[in-house]
Amino acid sequence: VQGSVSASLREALVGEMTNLRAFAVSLCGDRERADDLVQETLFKAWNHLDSFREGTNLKAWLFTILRNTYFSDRRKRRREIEDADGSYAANLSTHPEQHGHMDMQDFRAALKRLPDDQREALILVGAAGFSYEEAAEISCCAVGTIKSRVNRARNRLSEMLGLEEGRLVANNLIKSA
Amino acid sequence: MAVEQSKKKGRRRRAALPGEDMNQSNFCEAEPFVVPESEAGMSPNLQAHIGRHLRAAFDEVAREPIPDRLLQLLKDLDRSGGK
Repeated sequence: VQGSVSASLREALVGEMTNLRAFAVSLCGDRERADDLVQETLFKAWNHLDSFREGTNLKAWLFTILRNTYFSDRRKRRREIEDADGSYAANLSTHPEQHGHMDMQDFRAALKRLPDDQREALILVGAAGFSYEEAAEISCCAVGTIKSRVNRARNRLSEMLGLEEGRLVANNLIKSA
Repeated sequence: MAVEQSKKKGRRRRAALPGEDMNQSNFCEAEPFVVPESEAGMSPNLQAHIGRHLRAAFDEVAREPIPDRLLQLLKDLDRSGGK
Protein backbone atom coordinates (compact mmCIF):
# COMPACT_ATOMS: atom_id res chain seq x y z
CA VAL A 1 0.00 0.00 0.00
CA GLN A 2 1.74 3.10 -1.19
CA GLY A 3 2.28 6.07 1.02
CA SER A 4 0.15 4.73 3.82
CA VAL A 5 2.77 4.80 6.54
CA SER A 6 1.57 7.15 9.18
CA ALA A 7 3.90 9.96 10.16
CA SER A 8 3.89 8.91 13.79
CA LEU A 9 4.81 5.33 12.96
CA ARG A 10 7.57 6.47 10.66
CA GLU A 11 8.90 8.71 13.39
CA ALA A 12 8.78 5.87 15.91
CA LEU A 13 10.63 3.66 13.49
CA VAL A 14 13.41 6.20 13.05
CA GLY A 15 13.47 6.57 16.81
CA GLU A 16 14.29 2.88 17.23
CA MET A 17 17.08 2.90 14.68
CA THR A 18 19.90 3.64 17.10
CA ASN A 19 18.84 0.86 19.46
CA LEU A 20 18.35 -1.51 16.59
CA ARG A 21 21.87 -0.80 15.36
CA ALA A 22 23.31 -1.30 18.82
CA PHE A 23 21.52 -4.63 19.03
CA ALA A 24 22.81 -5.68 15.61
CA VAL A 25 26.40 -4.76 16.43
CA SER A 26 26.27 -6.52 19.80
CA LEU A 27 24.73 -9.57 18.18
CA CYS A 28 27.08 -10.01 15.24
CA GLY A 29 30.12 -8.07 16.43
CA ASP A 30 30.69 -6.45 13.08
CA ARG A 31 29.55 -2.96 12.17
CA GLU A 32 29.43 -3.47 8.45
CA ARG A 33 27.32 -6.59 8.75
CA ALA A 34 25.24 -5.00 11.46
CA ASP A 35 24.26 -2.16 9.15
CA ASP A 36 23.33 -4.70 6.48
CA LEU A 37 21.12 -6.38 9.05
CA VAL A 38 19.48 -3.11 10.05
CA GLN A 39 18.95 -2.24 6.43
CA GLU A 40 17.29 -5.56 5.72
CA THR A 41 15.21 -5.26 8.88
CA LEU A 42 14.01 -1.79 7.93
CA PHE A 43 13.12 -2.96 4.48
CA LYS A 44 11.13 -5.93 5.78
CA ALA A 45 9.47 -3.87 8.47
CA TRP A 46 8.48 -1.18 6.02
CA ASN A 47 6.94 -3.66 3.64
CA HIS A 48 5.03 -5.37 6.42
CA LEU A 49 3.91 -2.40 8.42
CA ASP A 50 0.35 -3.44 7.74
CA SER A 51 0.93 -6.53 9.89
CA PHE A 52 2.13 -4.37 12.75
CA ARG A 53 -0.56 -3.15 15.08
CA GLU A 54 0.05 0.40 16.19
CA GLY A 55 0.13 0.74 19.92
CA THR A 56 1.91 -2.59 20.42
CA ASN A 57 5.61 -2.94 21.05
CA LEU A 58 7.36 -1.60 17.96
CA LYS A 59 10.81 -2.07 19.45
CA ALA A 60 10.19 -5.76 20.19
CA TRP A 61 8.73 -6.24 16.71
CA LEU A 62 11.79 -4.72 15.04
CA PHE A 63 14.20 -6.65 17.25
CA THR A 64 12.40 -9.88 16.36
CA ILE A 65 12.69 -9.21 12.65
CA LEU A 66 16.36 -8.40 13.04
CA ARG A 67 17.26 -11.48 15.05
CA ASN A 68 15.27 -13.76 12.74
CA THR A 69 17.13 -12.26 9.80
CA TYR A 70 20.42 -12.73 11.60
CA PHE A 71 19.81 -16.35 12.54
CA SER A 72 18.50 -17.47 9.18
CA ASP A 73 21.37 -15.68 7.48
CA ARG A 74 23.82 -17.22 9.90
CA ARG A 75 22.58 -20.71 9.18
CA LYS A 76 23.16 -20.13 5.49
CA ARG A 77 26.67 -18.85 6.03
CA ARG A 78 27.64 -20.98 8.97
CA ARG A 79 30.93 -22.32 7.67
CA GLU A 80 32.19 -18.96 6.51
CA ILE A 81 31.25 -17.27 9.78
CA GLU A 82 32.83 -19.91 11.95
CA ASP A 83 36.12 -19.34 10.20
CA ALA A 84 35.82 -15.63 10.85
CA ASP A 85 35.01 -16.25 14.49
CA GLY A 86 38.04 -18.46 14.85
CA SER A 87 40.39 -15.76 13.70
CA TYR A 88 38.63 -13.15 15.79
CA ALA A 89 38.85 -15.29 18.91
CA ALA A 90 42.56 -15.71 18.27
CA ASN A 91 42.81 -11.94 18.61
CA LEU A 92 41.80 -12.06 22.22
CA SER A 93 45.05 -10.37 22.93
CA THR A 94 45.56 -9.94 26.62
CA HIS A 95 44.94 -12.28 29.47
CA PRO A 96 42.64 -10.25 31.64
CA GLU A 97 43.06 -12.66 34.54
CA GLN A 98 46.60 -11.37 34.91
CA HIS A 99 45.41 -7.83 35.37
CA GLY A 100 42.35 -8.39 37.47
CA HIS A 101 40.26 -6.19 35.22
CA MET A 102 38.92 -6.32 31.75
CA ASP A 103 38.80 -3.65 29.16
CA MET A 104 36.08 -3.20 26.61
CA GLN A 105 38.04 -4.87 23.85
CA ASP A 106 38.40 -8.07 25.83
CA PHE A 107 34.79 -7.87 26.83
CA ARG A 108 33.62 -7.54 23.23
CA ALA A 109 35.82 -10.42 22.13
CA ALA A 110 34.47 -12.62 24.91
CA LEU A 111 30.90 -11.60 24.07
CA LYS A 112 31.48 -12.63 20.51
CA ARG A 113 32.70 -16.05 21.58
CA LEU A 114 29.49 -16.83 23.44
CA PRO A 115 27.08 -19.20 21.74
CA ASP A 116 24.62 -17.19 19.66
CA ASP A 117 21.57 -17.97 21.75
CA GLN A 118 23.30 -17.02 24.99
CA ARG A 119 24.67 -13.78 23.59
CA GLU A 120 21.27 -12.84 22.25
CA ALA A 121 19.53 -13.49 25.57
CA LEU A 122 22.14 -11.57 27.52
CA ILE A 123 21.95 -8.52 25.25
CA LEU A 124 18.16 -8.44 25.17
CA VAL A 125 17.83 -8.60 28.94
CA GLY A 126 21.07 -7.00 30.06
CA ALA A 127 21.47 -4.14 27.62
CA ALA A 128 18.42 -3.58 25.44
CA GLY A 129 16.08 -3.24 28.39
CA PHE A 130 13.64 -6.06 27.70
CA SER A 131 12.03 -8.11 30.44
CA TYR A 132 12.61 -11.87 30.48
CA GLU A 133 9.08 -12.28 29.13
CA GLU A 134 9.67 -9.92 26.23
CA ALA A 135 13.01 -11.54 25.45
CA ALA A 136 11.31 -14.94 25.40
CA GLU A 137 8.72 -13.58 22.99
CA ILE A 138 11.41 -12.13 20.73
CA SER A 139 13.52 -15.30 20.75
CA CYS A 140 10.46 -17.50 20.50
CA CYS A 141 11.30 -19.69 23.47
CA ALA A 142 10.20 -20.23 27.05
CA VAL A 143 10.94 -17.67 29.77
CA GLY A 144 12.88 -20.33 31.66
CA THR A 145 15.06 -20.89 28.61
CA ILE A 146 15.93 -17.19 28.48
CA LYS A 147 16.79 -17.15 32.17
CA SER A 148 18.97 -20.18 31.75
CA ARG A 149 20.73 -18.70 28.73
CA VAL A 150 21.38 -15.44 30.55
CA ASN A 151 22.87 -17.29 33.51
CA ARG A 152 25.03 -19.49 31.34
CA ALA A 153 26.17 -16.44 29.37
CA ARG A 154 27.21 -14.61 32.53
CA ASN A 155 29.04 -17.61 33.90
CA ARG A 156 30.77 -18.24 30.62
CA LEU A 157 31.82 -14.59 30.31
CA SER A 158 33.23 -14.45 33.80
CA GLU A 159 35.15 -17.65 33.05
CA MET A 160 36.57 -16.30 29.82
CA LEU A 161 37.50 -13.02 31.42
CA GLY A 162 38.90 -14.57 34.53
CA LEU A 163 36.56 -12.71 36.81
CA GLU A 164 36.44 -13.73 40.41
CA GLU A 165 34.51 -12.24 43.21
CA GLY A 166 37.48 -11.69 45.53
CA ARG A 167 39.65 -10.10 42.89
CA LEU A 168 36.81 -7.88 41.72
CA VAL A 169 36.23 -6.56 45.22
CA ALA A 170 39.95 -5.99 45.76
CA ASN A 171 40.17 -4.20 42.44
CA ASN A 172 37.24 -1.96 43.22
CA LEU A 173 38.77 -1.11 46.56
CA ILE A 174 42.03 -0.13 44.91
CA LYS A 175 40.17 2.00 42.39
CA SER A 176 38.11 3.75 45.02
CA ALA A 177 41.06 4.25 47.35
CA MET B 1 18.71 -3.72 34.18
CA ALA B 2 15.41 -4.15 35.86
CA VAL B 3 15.35 -7.60 37.32
CA GLU B 4 11.76 -8.28 36.63
CA GLN B 5 10.41 -11.01 38.74
CA SER B 6 7.68 -11.78 36.47
CA LYS B 7 4.07 -11.20 36.18
CA LYS B 8 2.85 -14.59 35.12
CA LYS B 9 1.29 -14.63 31.77
CA GLY B 10 0.61 -17.39 29.36
CA ARG B 11 2.46 -17.55 26.10
CA ARG B 12 0.56 -15.67 23.53
CA ARG B 13 0.58 -16.58 19.92
CA ARG B 14 2.09 -13.64 18.17
CA ALA B 15 1.52 -12.38 14.67
CA ALA B 16 3.57 -13.84 11.87
CA LEU B 17 6.66 -11.85 11.06
CA PRO B 18 7.99 -10.91 7.67
CA GLY B 19 9.51 -13.90 5.95
CA GLU B 20 8.34 -16.23 8.64
CA ASP B 21 6.09 -19.14 8.10
CA MET B 22 4.31 -19.74 11.36
CA ASN B 23 3.79 -23.39 10.52
CA GLN B 24 7.48 -23.88 10.31
CA SER B 25 8.90 -23.65 13.76
CA ASN B 26 12.26 -22.59 12.45
CA PHE B 27 12.97 -20.06 15.11
CA CYS B 28 11.10 -21.67 17.92
CA GLU B 29 12.08 -24.39 20.21
CA ALA B 30 10.53 -26.83 22.55
CA GLU B 31 9.58 -25.82 26.04
CA PRO B 32 9.93 -25.95 28.95
CA PHE B 33 13.20 -25.87 30.65
CA VAL B 34 14.32 -26.32 34.22
CA VAL B 35 17.36 -24.33 35.25
CA PRO B 36 19.95 -26.70 36.71
CA GLU B 37 21.75 -25.69 39.87
CA SER B 38 25.01 -25.32 37.96
CA GLU B 39 23.47 -22.51 35.98
CA ALA B 40 22.23 -20.63 38.97
CA GLY B 41 22.97 -16.95 39.13
CA MET B 42 26.34 -15.63 40.16
CA SER B 43 27.06 -13.07 42.82
CA PRO B 44 25.27 -9.71 42.42
CA ASN B 45 28.67 -8.04 42.33
CA LEU B 46 29.89 -9.98 39.32
CA GLN B 47 26.52 -9.68 37.64
CA ALA B 48 26.62 -5.92 38.00
CA HIS B 49 30.16 -5.81 36.70
CA ILE B 50 29.23 -7.73 33.57
CA GLY B 51 26.05 -5.70 33.20
CA ARG B 52 27.97 -2.43 33.20
CA HIS B 53 30.28 -3.58 30.43
CA LEU B 54 27.40 -4.99 28.45
CA ARG B 55 25.49 -1.73 28.59
CA ALA B 56 28.60 0.30 27.86
CA ALA B 57 29.23 -1.72 24.70
CA PHE B 58 25.60 -1.37 23.65
CA ASP B 59 25.28 2.32 24.48
CA GLU B 60 28.46 3.22 22.69
CA VAL B 61 26.90 2.10 19.43
CA ALA B 62 23.45 3.44 20.29
CA ARG B 63 24.93 6.92 20.74
CA GLU B 64 26.45 6.98 17.27
CA PRO B 65 24.62 8.91 14.59
CA ILE B 66 22.61 6.81 12.16
CA PRO B 67 24.82 6.04 9.13
CA ASP B 68 23.97 7.89 5.93
CA ARG B 69 23.14 4.78 3.99
CA LEU B 70 20.39 3.88 6.47
CA LEU B 71 18.99 7.41 6.42
CA GLN B 72 19.05 7.26 2.64
CA LEU B 73 17.18 3.96 2.71
CA LEU B 74 14.50 5.51 4.87
CA LYS B 75 14.12 8.35 2.40
CA ASP B 76 13.91 5.93 -0.50
CA LEU B 77 11.35 3.78 1.27
CA ASP B 78 9.35 6.84 2.08
CA ARG B 79 9.31 7.91 -1.52
CA SER B 80 8.56 4.55 -3.06
CA GLY B 81 6.48 3.04 -0.30
CA GLY B 82 8.90 0.12 -0.28
CA LYS B 83 8.63 -3.00 -2.45
